[in-house]
Amino acid sequence: MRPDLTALRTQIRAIETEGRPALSCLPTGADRLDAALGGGLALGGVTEVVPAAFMDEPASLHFAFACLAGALQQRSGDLVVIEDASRGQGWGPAWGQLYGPGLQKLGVSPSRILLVRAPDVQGFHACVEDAARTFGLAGILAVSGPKAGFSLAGARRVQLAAEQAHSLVLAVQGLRTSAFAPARARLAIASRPCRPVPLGTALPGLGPPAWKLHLERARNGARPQSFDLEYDDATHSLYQPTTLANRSSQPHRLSA
Amino acid sequence: MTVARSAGGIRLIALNRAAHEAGLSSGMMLAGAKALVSDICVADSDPMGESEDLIALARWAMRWSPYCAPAKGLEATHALFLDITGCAHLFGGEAAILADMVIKMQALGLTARAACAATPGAAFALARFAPEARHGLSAPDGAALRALVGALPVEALRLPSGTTTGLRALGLKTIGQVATQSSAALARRFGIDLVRALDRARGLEEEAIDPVAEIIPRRIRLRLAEPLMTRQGLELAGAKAVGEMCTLLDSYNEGARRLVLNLYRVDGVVLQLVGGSGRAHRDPALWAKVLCERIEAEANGAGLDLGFGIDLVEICAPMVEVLEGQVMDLDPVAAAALASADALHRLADRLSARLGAGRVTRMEAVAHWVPERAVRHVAIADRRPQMSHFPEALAARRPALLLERAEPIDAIAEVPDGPPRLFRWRALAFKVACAEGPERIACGEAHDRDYYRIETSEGRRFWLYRQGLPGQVDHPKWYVHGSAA
Repeated sequence: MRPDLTALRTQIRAIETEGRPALSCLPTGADRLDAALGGGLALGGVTEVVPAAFMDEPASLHFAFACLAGALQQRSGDLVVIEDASRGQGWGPAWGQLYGPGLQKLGVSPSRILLVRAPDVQGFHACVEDAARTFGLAGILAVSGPKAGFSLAGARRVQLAAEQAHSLVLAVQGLRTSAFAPARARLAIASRPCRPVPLGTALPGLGPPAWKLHLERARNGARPQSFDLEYDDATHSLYQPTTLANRSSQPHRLSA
Repeated sequence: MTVARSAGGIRLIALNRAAHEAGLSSGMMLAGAKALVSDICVADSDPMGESEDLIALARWAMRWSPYCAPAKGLEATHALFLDITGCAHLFGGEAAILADMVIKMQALGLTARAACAATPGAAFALARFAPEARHGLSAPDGAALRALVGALPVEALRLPSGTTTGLRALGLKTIGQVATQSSAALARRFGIDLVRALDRARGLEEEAIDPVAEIIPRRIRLRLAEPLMTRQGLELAGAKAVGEMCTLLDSYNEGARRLVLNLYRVDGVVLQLVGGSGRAHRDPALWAKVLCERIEAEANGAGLDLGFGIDLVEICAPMVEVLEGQVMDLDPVAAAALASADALHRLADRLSARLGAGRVTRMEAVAHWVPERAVRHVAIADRRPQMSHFPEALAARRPALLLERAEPIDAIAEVPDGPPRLFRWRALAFKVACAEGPERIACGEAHDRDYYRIETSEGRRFWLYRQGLPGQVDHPKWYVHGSAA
């Protein structure tokens, strides 16, 4: 490597990290996921949540709220949910509006939610940036419309604002939304059949909600990998189920 | 024309000019009126609505005097009392203020009669029955007033119809004739009310009026020597007015929840901008920012037309709350919590000013069993949600996303009342793997719903319901009402 290139790289790194606080993380509760993300969801950064398939869009929002329930437990302040409600966009017509009782079940108390419905994409971007710059919020959930995502510059502005205010930003994107380039991590969520609860009826009952998470990209250099996750509504915690399939390969020793 | 049911049948209450010209009159039986004019069109009278309108008119009439009241008591006295003591000279004297009233009322499409006298009773009698009142009648005092009122019929006394008919039966047709009788004899025969009404009408006894309760808002006016033409100038003037308003609020120890910026254009149009806040405060910088956001939002929406300029900037605080000074918290944790709550309020105010008040909301729990009515969105600028916690047992069975309108699906379910096994929604087929339910919600006959939380074989969760119970409806319909259940 030529020496002037090395010098240039050090210079760029100094510009990039100058005056920025060291990033910390908020553990999600699922150990292996936290380890892969370098401690958990980035505080002072954007984590991108995308659906693996079109029909998984509600699941991705479901998972985002499961993560934010943990954030609300651990952090003070309110949760700001910003939605792109421009014409032909928005989640309302596609999957439904956020519903207070269901969110409360997940552990996201409706009294701590501030809902913002932006009338257009520009307004949406400005609101997310404004909220990301605000100190003392428990978290920010930016729900993009299914098509229009952040531009490269817009995403960068949000990322810088989040770094300044140390805020937790989850960007829930549609399937075809352009990627949020500076995100600390990109998590693709797919629905996964839950472990049914036998009730003695013709159809079994619903177990805890389950997802397959694919870590597509992470800034800390973790390789892409998948995790099975479940969420416990009673304790409001995200965990990795210990199923037969994930059992350690070592054979059990039966005690005599 | 409006009518009302009364003793003996339906009678006419209020009539328009055409009806008067056709020879109809108030109090006439509807059947009689129809005999005179066959093609009349009537509506039921609405006393509540009329009195509300009268109160609204009284508020509007505060342009002439702050002391303004609608007439109360007797039915169908559509009258306003204004105490114009000390106000008349502002309009160029009593005759001028009365003429102004009549003209302004005509502009509203109302036929008004106005009179001004020493007491409300005399003014009422003259306004109702003196022919000159059509253009506004300013009556003299003393003996001249008594002579003027004396010529009016006894109905001008504002007494129940029984008393006036009694007086007419005795041959006492005018107030002057009644006044010649001894008051003791009148009181014995008709009660003390007649004597009092007589004194009031003749300008001898004062009467209290009950002005419309109006909170006088805190108001700042900025008169400009040169009309403002630019947005920058407008923002500067707005910021100056906001600063004065905050000083005013400070002197009353109050904070504003809402500020209204009225911009008076040179050509007489008033532009109104409303800025709201989630909590009461009197921080000039914050309020200026909120109003500037409103100005910018209006300007971007091409709704702010400054025309030939703004020559008066007015700022009112219609919603104020007592605001005690806050004690600075020395505990760092509590101080941080306070600072973060403050930051959130500022963010919410800023966003609701920029996007419009209805777009920044909080959820409020409503005690209603129909799922779509159990949540209400309350704009933060309006009020605080009363209750935000849902019953745990109910919340446990609800989805995180609720469709605004339930969408019909084709479903195959066990008969008579089992959960669905297969369904088709938005041209996609789903196989149900797990189901929980039913939860029955009564919505009235044949609309009762049986809700199921289901998970498809791919692990997607929905909230479905069957409308119509198995025993009541032959072919119940299925709907999907939510996802992420």
